[in-house]
Amino acid sequence: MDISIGQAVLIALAAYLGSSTWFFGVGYFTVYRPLIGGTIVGLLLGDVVTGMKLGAAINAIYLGFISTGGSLPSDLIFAGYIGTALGMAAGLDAPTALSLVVPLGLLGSGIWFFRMSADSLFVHWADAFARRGSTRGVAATNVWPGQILLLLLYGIPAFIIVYYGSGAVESVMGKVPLKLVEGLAMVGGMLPAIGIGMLLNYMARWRLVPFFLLGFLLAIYLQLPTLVIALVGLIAAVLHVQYSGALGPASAPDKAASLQLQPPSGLRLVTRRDMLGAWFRWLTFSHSCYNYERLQGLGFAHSMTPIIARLYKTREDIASALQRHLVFFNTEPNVGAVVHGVTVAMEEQRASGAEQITDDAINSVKSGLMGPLAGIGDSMTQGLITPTLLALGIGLAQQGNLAGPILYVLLESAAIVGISYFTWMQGYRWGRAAVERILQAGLLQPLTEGATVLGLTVVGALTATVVQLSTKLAITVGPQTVLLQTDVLDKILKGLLPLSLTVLIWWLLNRKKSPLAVILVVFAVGLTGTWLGWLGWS
Amino acid sequence: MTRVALVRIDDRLIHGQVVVKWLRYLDCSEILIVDNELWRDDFMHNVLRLAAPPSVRVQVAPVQQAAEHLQLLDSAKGDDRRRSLVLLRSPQAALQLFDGGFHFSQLNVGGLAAGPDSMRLYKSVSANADQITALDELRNRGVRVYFQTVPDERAAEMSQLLPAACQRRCSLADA
Repeated sequence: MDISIGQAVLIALAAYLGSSTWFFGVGYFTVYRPLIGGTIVGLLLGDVVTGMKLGAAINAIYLGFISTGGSLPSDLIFAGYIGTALGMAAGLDAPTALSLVVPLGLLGSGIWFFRMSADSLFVHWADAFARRGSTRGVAATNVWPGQILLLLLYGIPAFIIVYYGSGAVESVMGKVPLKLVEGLAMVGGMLPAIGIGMLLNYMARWRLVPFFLLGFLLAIYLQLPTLVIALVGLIAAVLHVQYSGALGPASAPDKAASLQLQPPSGLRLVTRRDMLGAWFRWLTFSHSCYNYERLQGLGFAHSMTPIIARLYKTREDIASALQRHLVFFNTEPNVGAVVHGVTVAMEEQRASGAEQITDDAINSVKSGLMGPLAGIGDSMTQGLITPTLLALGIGLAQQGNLAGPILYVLLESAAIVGISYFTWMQGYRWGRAAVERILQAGLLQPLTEGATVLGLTVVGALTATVVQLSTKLAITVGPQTVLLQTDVLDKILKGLLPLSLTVLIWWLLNRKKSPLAVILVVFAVGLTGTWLGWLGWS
Repeated sequence: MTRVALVRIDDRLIHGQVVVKWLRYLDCSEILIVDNELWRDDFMHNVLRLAAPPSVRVQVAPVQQAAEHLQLLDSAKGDDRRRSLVLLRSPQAALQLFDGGFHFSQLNVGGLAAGPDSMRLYKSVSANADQITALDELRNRGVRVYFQTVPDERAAEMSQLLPAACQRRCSLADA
């Protein structure tokens, strides 16, 4: 397939949008993911289903992808958007394409580092606007320079690689020996085990491993549809939480804490419209100018602009409020939005004359709470909700069902927007006591436990469908030839090799082997195994 | 018996990198936060306790007390069942901890927010002159100081990074 200039431009644009800020805060959780990126690229190249399937397979490698505090192990835009485009253009099957995607993802992670370094510069422009008391200037600095830079950083390499690279990949793949092509396909079949192994290493507890096996067996022996397995997982989760004693108060609130459970008193000056406006700005632009110097600091200040405009009238007051919120800030943007609600409540008290609300008081609440909430937030959104829904979406997509990406985007967006809105409003209503209210409600632990059970079941099912490994070894005893794969292994347990590979990789990662080293080992084993004729499809 | 698996400077204390990456990587079941101010703050104490996974115990202690406690653990021989992660908010506190008697051999610097007169040393680690001095003092005492935000990325040695940083600061001062 040839990619026209127009298509390459559109893919480059989509690659930028996938990493941009324009999807109301859910972009990182939806369009950034290869499952969605692949579907979009497929749409642009005129074959949605192929793109979706390829994106789904790529995403399986990155199922355990978690980015915290601006550290990025691999770039999913390069892997998802560019990987799908190259794979489709060169007419590669999914496993072969996967072996090309991993190096692409590593290549792209340099862009992220450059972006976060360069964005540090723009924050100082925002400082200048803040000194002049310009809320508009601060807002515009958050939105535009970082995004224009991002467009160039992703758009240009994406265009070049997609437009010039696809022909190159095709001709190179045409020239390499058939054995090597087979080897790469074998590697591609094994690679998803790394994504699943990473996720298991993070998500699984030993006592919950049976649910992973449950999902695996349901998929491999009963071939149940992914959605049905997800429902079985949901039922298992509900039963597990009910009967394992995970339900009930996680910790009895002690007296000192419950005394503080009172909403802040004082006038309410901020209108509902201001609140919604501020929340919407945060949801959308929290990472618009993400940088190493202050991380989400500029995003925080931008989100406060409607509140500041409402509460403060003189230029000096506005300037000092803007500067107050331009400091270093970083949290998980959704669960952490409770900090913003609390901050609005404090600013409101300050504006209505409460003298004890000093700059220091506001700063210490923000800097004290942002860390702990990021810890909880990252575990919930990136560690649990996203991989569980992704495993479901990938499973559906692999069966050629467009409901995969669509359902994923809908469910994931609903979860993210819902959490963000809830915590923001709770923070405003209850002040910092909201944090204890949310954490001590005793819901967090059973929810986490239940979601883990559901997640493991779905991931088990996914393992059965995406990880592929098979041996061609045969044992000749006299006149009889015994095929190891079909005559021995399949008779013991179908999918024994993929399952063992996944568990082995999980074990290696658990033993602190670096993912990169594991990837290299998979490449080495897959290529030599195929070369020697040990691995392959008989 | 507790063994200290990591001593880390991170002014955000318990957050995503610590909960999602380090705790799992090091298999720690205890976090000890060494901080004179937080120790007096019941609210933050409670929030930090709730922010850690349920299986992880969080303790907050003032520097001197922590130094004595950790020194005791350090010299005790026993099985290493409980692994502990020590968190501090500043290089100065780390220096006090060391001088207080807990002689850790390695110090991980994972996060320090940029202040008005600080400069960026590494990713999201910035430091001002006082903080750099404190880190240098620790190195003079034989501590390996290294920058690393999460376990899945490579560590950067301060001994290699700082000469470059010094030059940058000097050239900034000239300009």
